Amino acid sequence: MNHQLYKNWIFAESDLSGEQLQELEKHLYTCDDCQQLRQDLRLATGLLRAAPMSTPIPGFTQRWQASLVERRVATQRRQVRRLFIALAGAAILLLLLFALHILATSTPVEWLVAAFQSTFSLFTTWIKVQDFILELVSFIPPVVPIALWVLITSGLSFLTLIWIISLWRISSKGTSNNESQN
Amino acid sequence: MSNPEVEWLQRAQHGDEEAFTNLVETYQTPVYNLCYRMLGGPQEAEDAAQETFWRAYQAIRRYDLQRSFITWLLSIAAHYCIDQQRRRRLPTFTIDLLPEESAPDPAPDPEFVVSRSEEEKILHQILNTMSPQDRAAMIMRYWYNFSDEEIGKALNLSISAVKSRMHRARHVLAERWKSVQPQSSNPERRNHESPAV
Repeated sequence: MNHQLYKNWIFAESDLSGEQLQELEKHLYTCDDCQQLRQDLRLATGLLRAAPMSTPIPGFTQRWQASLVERRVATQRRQVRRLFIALAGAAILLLLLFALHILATSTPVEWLVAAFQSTFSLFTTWIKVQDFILELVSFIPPVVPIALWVLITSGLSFLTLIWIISLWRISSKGTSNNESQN
Repeated sequence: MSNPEVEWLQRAQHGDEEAFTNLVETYQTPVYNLCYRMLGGPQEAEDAAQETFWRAYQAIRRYDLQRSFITWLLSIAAHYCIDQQRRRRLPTFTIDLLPEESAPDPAPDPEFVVSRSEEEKILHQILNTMSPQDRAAMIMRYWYNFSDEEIGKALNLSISAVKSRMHRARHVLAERWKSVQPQSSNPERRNHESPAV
């Protein structure tokens, strides 16, 4: 007797035709093994159907709301990080292209000469700027300098501080616009 | 889907966070239950359910309102749990950990609690022997009454593949039942059993 066929029918559940069901019932009447198999399956599926839904501990929605804020901040940080990485990558690529261009269009002796000329030019410019500032200072009345210098230095320090804080805030938390949308 | 749900879905698709929170409130139990049955531990289920809602939140604009929302949501949950299972490649059921909220009755009969706990252990043991996809299919069929077609849509399977998986899973179910049933055989439990298929 082909028990495998009947076993397959038992597992096929509701996909059997009327004739197949009749034949299966006939077989089960005479076969204890298959009868036992169907009984086991029925008890097991009954257990599955009777099992209650597991529920989360109270406050799931509040935890969801809290996690939503955290996930958004994390997403924004990732986006800002990606942006910085992309910008840094682009800068490195440009530098590489520039280096390749120099390598392709000039010789090492020419680089040395150009580097020397640039350094010399920078140095002379720096000396000129120093002379200009000293000349400018010599024209300012003697009472003004201390107060003026304190004011200018404080102003520049303050602006630099604001600039650094803004950069830090953008890199760590995203823009204020995005935050206000949260 | 009821009318308020359709409205919540439409509002959520336009970025209304409160509307999506209402959906979380409504569907937290079915999502959590699927994750719990798939992963076995309350904490893992909580994390998976939260992740499911986050993924749904991110993809809500792409959700087709003609589709069943619960099928779509459980599909996300099932795929996430299947991925988690594959990453671990280890049996994950912690059969001694059961959430207290599993028993719906606030003052249940102690004998019922014991028998329910035993049943939960047997369920975990049986489900744990199945592959993640077979397990997801069985959970969808027996906890959510999903048809083969709905299971196929949720798990991205053809109907014949679903039938094949259900066939194999029922085979495992009957075999495992035979092996665990003698130790857990309990007349009280049978009194609470649902009618046979």
